[in-house]
Amino acid sequence: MTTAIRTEGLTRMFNGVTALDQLDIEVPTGSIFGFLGPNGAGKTTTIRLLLGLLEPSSGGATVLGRDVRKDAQGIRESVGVLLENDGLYERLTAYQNLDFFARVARLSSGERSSRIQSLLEEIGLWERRDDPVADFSRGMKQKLALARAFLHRPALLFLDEPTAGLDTPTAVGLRRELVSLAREEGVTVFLTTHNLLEAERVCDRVAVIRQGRLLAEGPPEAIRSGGRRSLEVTASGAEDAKTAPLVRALVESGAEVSEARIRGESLEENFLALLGDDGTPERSEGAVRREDRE
Amino acid sequence: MRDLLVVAGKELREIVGAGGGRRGLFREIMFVGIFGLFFPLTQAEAWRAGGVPATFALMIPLFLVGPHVADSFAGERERGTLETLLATRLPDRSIYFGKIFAVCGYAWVVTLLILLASLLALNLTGGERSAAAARVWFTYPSFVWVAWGLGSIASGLLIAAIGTFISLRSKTVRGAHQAMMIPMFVLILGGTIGIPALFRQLPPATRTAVLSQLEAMDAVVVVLWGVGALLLFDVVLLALGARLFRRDRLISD
Repeated sequence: MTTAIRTEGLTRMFNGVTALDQLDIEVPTGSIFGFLGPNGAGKTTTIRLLLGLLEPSSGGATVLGRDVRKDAQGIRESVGVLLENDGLYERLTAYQNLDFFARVARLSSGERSSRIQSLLEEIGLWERRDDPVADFSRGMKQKLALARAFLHRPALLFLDEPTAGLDTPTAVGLRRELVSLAREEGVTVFLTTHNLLEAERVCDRVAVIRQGRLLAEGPPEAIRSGGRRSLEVTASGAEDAKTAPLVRALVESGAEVSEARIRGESLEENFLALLGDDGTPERSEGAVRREDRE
Repeated sequence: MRDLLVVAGKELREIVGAGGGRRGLFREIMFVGIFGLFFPLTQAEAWRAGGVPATFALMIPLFLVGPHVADSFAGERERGTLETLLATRLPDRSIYFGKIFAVCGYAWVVTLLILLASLLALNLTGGERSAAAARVWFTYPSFVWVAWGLGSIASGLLIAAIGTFISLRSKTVRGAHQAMMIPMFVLILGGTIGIPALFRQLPPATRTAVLSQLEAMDAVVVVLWGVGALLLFDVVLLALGARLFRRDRLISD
């Protein structure tokens, strides 16, 4: 397994305040790595350090084998970014925005136009290519910014809270878009978020950070169960009366059952089902649309 | 150089309001209309003498460059595009000089259009020296061409260099615009009122000596010396600005 990002004792201080404290992480190539933490935990600082936009106070890091202190420009050449702000020029059109960043990345003229077209088609904005970005909704802007991040086929993608501030259907759509593009293009993704559900659904590995200190790191399910391995059984159509034999069967087979509860669909899942979003999980029989009842 | 031109191209598109319509071009047409048609037609003799267009050549870039350069970094910061731009592979100098190149190039072209429009207006309208009466096209004295060609670049670069210092340190566009008013006033009032006022404070003998020296010199040489000194000052300011332009400082600020 190769490593896309490795940090060793990475530390950054601002005027005596430690924003990031001795961070040690490894991000495997090809994975989607979630960097979780509340606001002000040091997530954005970490991305800025890894991009060479800030100098570490101590410690170091390599990104795609390049040292952040010695070859920051080389790093910026090979990565794509979607930072806290979408970073799009509102006075320019969608096409002009992508064209500018494609020129920055030194794509050839032919490659530029074909790549821009294919990405705009993929995110459903080809028809709006000549509209100024100022006229776009926040979700459309985020999709366009995501396309921009993929434009030059980077080996690694930094996404800083890509779904922050988006409504649920848009966030779900963007998440889907992200996973599909990342898997299709074989990109390593470093994703910061404070949305745990998002991390759980999208990430292969996660790290949890608070006040600049790493608290835990591993696969989402391991972090969720505090390092203990667990077995999750989802039984559709299980009514209260039928759950007891099911649990008994599990115990008899040697499983240590610590929790068994009847779970309906999550509020998010039901919300999406009510809105009729096309990519939501199947609607349970219990979730009744308002119009069905009327 | 290629990166610089890419940045400059994007800036120019933003300046002339690409994607947003024709509001940007309307502003340029207004400038050309007022300075290139209205003034020459209402003060034809003063324009033909050359003093007024030479002064305008130095002043107009201040008005054209000032607002755009104030917006260059402060605007990107306020609109949340600066960090994404800094996260690209673009070298610091390409970003810094690309923005300056764009605003100065834009101002230079508009200034040149004003000169050409005024020349056309003076030739196509009445007066003994009109093309129809004399059968010769009127053209400005050579010092006017020097002032328009080089002077407008020098004054544009001066305000651009000062403006980037301000823009790099301003958190908002409004703050940058307000701060820009000070150098703009100093340069405009200093050039039109301050220097003549200071000159009048000199002893009469010195004044006479300076004036006779200037009269003895060719007007082109005088303008060239002035513009040369201004360009040298610009180079120093720009070099200083390029040294101060650092990604980590912009991000930590």
